Amino acid sequence: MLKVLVPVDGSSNSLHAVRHVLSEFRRNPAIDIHLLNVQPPFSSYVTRWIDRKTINEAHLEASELALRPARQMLDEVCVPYSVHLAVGGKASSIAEFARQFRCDHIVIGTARKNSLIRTIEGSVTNKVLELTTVPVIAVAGDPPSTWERYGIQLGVGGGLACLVVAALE
Amino acid sequence: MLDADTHSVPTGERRDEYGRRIALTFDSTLMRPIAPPADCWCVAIDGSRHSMHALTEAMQLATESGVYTLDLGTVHHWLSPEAAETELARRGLATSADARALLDSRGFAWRLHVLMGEPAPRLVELTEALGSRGIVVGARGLSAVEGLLLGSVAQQIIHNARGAVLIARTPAAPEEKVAC
Repeated sequence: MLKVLVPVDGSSNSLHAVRHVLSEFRRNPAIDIHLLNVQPPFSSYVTRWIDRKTINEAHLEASELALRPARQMLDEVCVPYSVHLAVGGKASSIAEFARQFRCDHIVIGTARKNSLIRTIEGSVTNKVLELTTVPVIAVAGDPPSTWERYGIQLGVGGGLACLVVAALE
Repeated sequence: MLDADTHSVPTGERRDEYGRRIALTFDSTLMRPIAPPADCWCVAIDGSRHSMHALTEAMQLATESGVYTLDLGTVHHWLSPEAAETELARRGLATSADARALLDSRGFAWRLHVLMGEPAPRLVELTEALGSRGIVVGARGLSAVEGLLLGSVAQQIIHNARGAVLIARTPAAPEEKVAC
């Protein structure tokens, strides 16, 4: 039985990953699906004043919200799955979970960005690939928005032009 | 093996506007049932240890879903029209010899696609044309900076492919880090 880890953050890209797992499930129903949502930890300024139970409840509530669309998709076709919540860095938590639960694959949705946008915004997929030796299936998501496609390039170009002008003067 | 390779005849070929051979297809010589490309994963082969690791991952994936056929894609640098007539087939068969031997020994059927040009875009085009389930590539496990300097085919494929991409990372060997 294939144990597949699907990190879900509620974005449309992560739903592409769920859709891919569903299509794989139709070919081979012997798949053990684990949905994982990673929540960023609260800062120590917050945790100092609020008790642990409230913080856990806040994390749970946020993760339920993020997992809802993915769970709906799987529930509609009656596919069995289990849900997990981790608190910490996205990439490191995913890699750690895959190692602990001995997952066979990680299926992750990836935005289709060019190298410049990726350098600036970072990519969870790239970080996961760096941290783990578990095979990763990257599922192509939506192309970047117009703002991302042109805005960042214009911004970087404009910044460089300003530097050149400043250096010349 | 080599004797069999010299007698292999391509089952398909494609030429560009100058009449140069730019793509060849070979089918497995052993008589085995072949699944349509839409049910198969396409494995990128460059003859390295990493691509063989990717192949074993793809074989496991194929076995799980009960499809015993894999597409192999191998991309070579541009050759002159005269050289491409003989060299493209020779190089493609030489690069994929280990992979094909492994598949034959495990009872898998295969289709070998030998292409010419830039690796990442050619492989993405190939899987889109075949309608494969996804691409399987090996990664050397370079860090972000090393990947930026050396260029990573796996990275380019992930961010350009429209389908699924399986990246199989070989556990890093210590002597290789020194070689970098």
